[in-house]
Amino acid sequence: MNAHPTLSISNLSKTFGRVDVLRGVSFEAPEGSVTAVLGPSGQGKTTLLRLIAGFERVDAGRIEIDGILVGSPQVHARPDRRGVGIVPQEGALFPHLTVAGNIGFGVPRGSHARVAEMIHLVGLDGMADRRPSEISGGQQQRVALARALAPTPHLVLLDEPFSALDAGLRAGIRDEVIGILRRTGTTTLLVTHDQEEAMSIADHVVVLLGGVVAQQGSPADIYDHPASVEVARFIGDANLLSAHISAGRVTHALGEQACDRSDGDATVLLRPEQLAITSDVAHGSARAGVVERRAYYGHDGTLGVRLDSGELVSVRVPVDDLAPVGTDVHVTMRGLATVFD
Amino acid sequence: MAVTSNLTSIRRSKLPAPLAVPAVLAAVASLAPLAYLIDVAFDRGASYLWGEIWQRRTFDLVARSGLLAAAVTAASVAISVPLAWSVMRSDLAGRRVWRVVLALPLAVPSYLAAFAWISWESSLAGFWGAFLVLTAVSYPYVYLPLTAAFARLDQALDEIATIHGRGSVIRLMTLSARQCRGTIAAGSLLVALYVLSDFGAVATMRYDAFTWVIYGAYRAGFNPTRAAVLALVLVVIALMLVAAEAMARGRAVTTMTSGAVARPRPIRLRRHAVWFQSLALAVAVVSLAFPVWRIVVWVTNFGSDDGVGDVMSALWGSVRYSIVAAAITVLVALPIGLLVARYRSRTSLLLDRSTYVTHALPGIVVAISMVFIGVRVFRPIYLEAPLLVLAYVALFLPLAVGGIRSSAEQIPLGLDDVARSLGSSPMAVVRRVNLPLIAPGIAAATALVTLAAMKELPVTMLLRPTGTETLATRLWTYTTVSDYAGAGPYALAIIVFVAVPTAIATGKR
Repeated sequence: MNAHPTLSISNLSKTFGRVDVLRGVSFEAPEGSVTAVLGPSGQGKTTLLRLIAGFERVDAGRIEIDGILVGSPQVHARPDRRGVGIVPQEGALFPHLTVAGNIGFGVPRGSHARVAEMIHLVGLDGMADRRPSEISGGQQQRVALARALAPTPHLVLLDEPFSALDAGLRAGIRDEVIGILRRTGTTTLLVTHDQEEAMSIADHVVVLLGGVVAQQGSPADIYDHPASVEVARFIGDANLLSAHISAGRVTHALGEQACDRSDGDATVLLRPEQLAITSDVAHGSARAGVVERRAYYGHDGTLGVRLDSGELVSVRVPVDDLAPVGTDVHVTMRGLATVFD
Repeated sequence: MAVTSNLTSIRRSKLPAPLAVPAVLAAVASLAPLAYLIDVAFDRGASYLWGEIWQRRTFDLVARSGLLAAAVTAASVAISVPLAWSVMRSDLAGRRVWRVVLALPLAVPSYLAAFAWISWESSLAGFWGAFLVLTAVSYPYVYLPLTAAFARLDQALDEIATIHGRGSVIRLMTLSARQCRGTIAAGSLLVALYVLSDFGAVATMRYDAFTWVIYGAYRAGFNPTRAAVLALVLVVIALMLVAAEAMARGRAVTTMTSGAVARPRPIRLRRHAVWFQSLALAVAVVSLAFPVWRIVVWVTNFGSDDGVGDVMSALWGSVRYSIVAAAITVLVALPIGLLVARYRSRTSLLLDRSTYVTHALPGIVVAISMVFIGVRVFRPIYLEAPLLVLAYVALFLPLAVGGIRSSAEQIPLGLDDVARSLGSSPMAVVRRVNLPLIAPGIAAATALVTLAAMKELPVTMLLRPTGTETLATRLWTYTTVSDYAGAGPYALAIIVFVAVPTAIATGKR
């Protein structure tokens, strides 16, 4: 294990004109890890990647790769000397070169063995002489990955690499690409707006909202303990209910629990899977309501229930419990709600 | 979600010096003719310059040129709108053939068309002859962009209009045309610029427009200042047109409907079809069939004193300087085109603007300023091949830059970024990614500049090396003495060796 994390970003800021695109962003990507930078479009993700790759200059803060400073207001290593591979959206293959020509672009001329190894790694044996226009979108994405990996970069950046693919193919190609990156022990930074994608493949998720790191941690950490209402709303489905704190207890539409915050108004988060439909109307926490919406997903479904107290909550239910709209039901909760000020 | 890659939505701003230095030098050098023109115009002081400008005859000249430009522009719009609309949006019979045929007149040199008409009816000389010829060869500047704009127009509007009872053919055409106002405006300004810059048609038709009067002032000798002053006034007017065109083009893009545009269902012309067919036929006859027929008649019915050998030697005269000039022009244009297309910085913006300026320099203006430069600076190469080639380079640089730029703009910027991340220096990116991808554009630009130089008249006339004859100068010499039989073979050679290849090269692009 290296003494330094492969990528270390500290207090990074970037301004375009009068717009602060990134403000004081800090995080690290340990060697061999897969880190996802997650955020809606236009929140600075792309700028962050471009700064790391060296296409933009740093206004404030530092970027270190393998412990070497490559970007700061004083230092700017050229993109061709950073050893950072990139896999853009839609592949961006060189249309005038074959598959082998693309993969070999970044390695010294004559490194046929390396090119062949990479072609084999991404499972495109026999396709070396095809043109990019003659292969499928998923194959193009794999060529782009092999091309980025061929010069053995310190770090590979993936920029929304799967969003241009058909929904049906996306998951398969994603698993394949991440599998290759993990097998080769490549340190990976993935930028995406798709929270499901980030949560399912990353070791470490950095949530970027409005140019600042709203939260970072493991996917489970972020899902179970969102740091703010904004993060909670962005990651997964969220029931955010108004609540009141008084004398060490927080009270909301579905129950109450101990809370060490000071008295006053608050918001609580309950994930749809923390709620359930119950037939045990006598149960203490059961609350009456009417089904207002119904969504079927095959493996399960969700019900939008209008509680008698007025709130609309989303409840994840097994398919058997998908009651028709208009049905009177009772909702219970389990576990603890997350409380925000 | 953005369709293009996120990584590439912002362009880099630092220009690689191996591109920037030659590009800036070339751009500065291309402005030299204008600088010399200004220098000569101010030779006798600013008060003399104002005295030359504030004269009745100067105002009359502006009025005559303006009238011609306005009339040709109006006529071009009047025929281009129905032509473009009927070939793109209606069920006009043979519309696919018409689409191509109606674009061809662009390849016909104005002096050639003028020769065909004046050799048939000498009373056409003057305004009407110039109007007819210039409209016939320059309307495609409106017609061509308009066909592209109509093709992108959303057909839903036609359907809505039909539902609301506005379904008459004329109304639907007007509705479509109104949405393409910006495109029409930009095309109109190009037509006006063409008319003001044209030498061949007004010279053949003896219409006292700017270029012809400037040529006269130059020929009268002794007083180069008047020629320079008039040339400067013309350049100022042309610059205003170029600036207006750039603005109109910028606006034209936003008037386009966006989103998924279904292939338009053709609108049925029914009883109106005959009018549109007649118009298309009339335009094709006037711009193409008639000139070709006249020239064939001259060649077959009347003997020329010149044999095949003379025509071939003139062809060789046209070809050899043109090819050299084209190769140099494209080489000089390459760094400018690449920088303007692929980098956003103050320098590339200035480079872009400098091509606007050279684009506004009419051939006759480049010709006389190169004469000034030749006489004052490059005396040893005055009336030698290198000066002629330099003049062609100055004149056709915008054409070459435009071709290279448009093909360089089609390369996704993301390719450059990927190549950089794979260890390529900026110049390696140019060599390994950009140049291979714009190779077809480079070939096309070279062909177009060669052909443009082959049919060029005023620069060739004033700067050709002593003793050299080209197809254009031969045709010109015979036309000026009304020896149409003598001119015939050269006119035919221009059609076969220049106009037809130009039409093919333009069509391919």
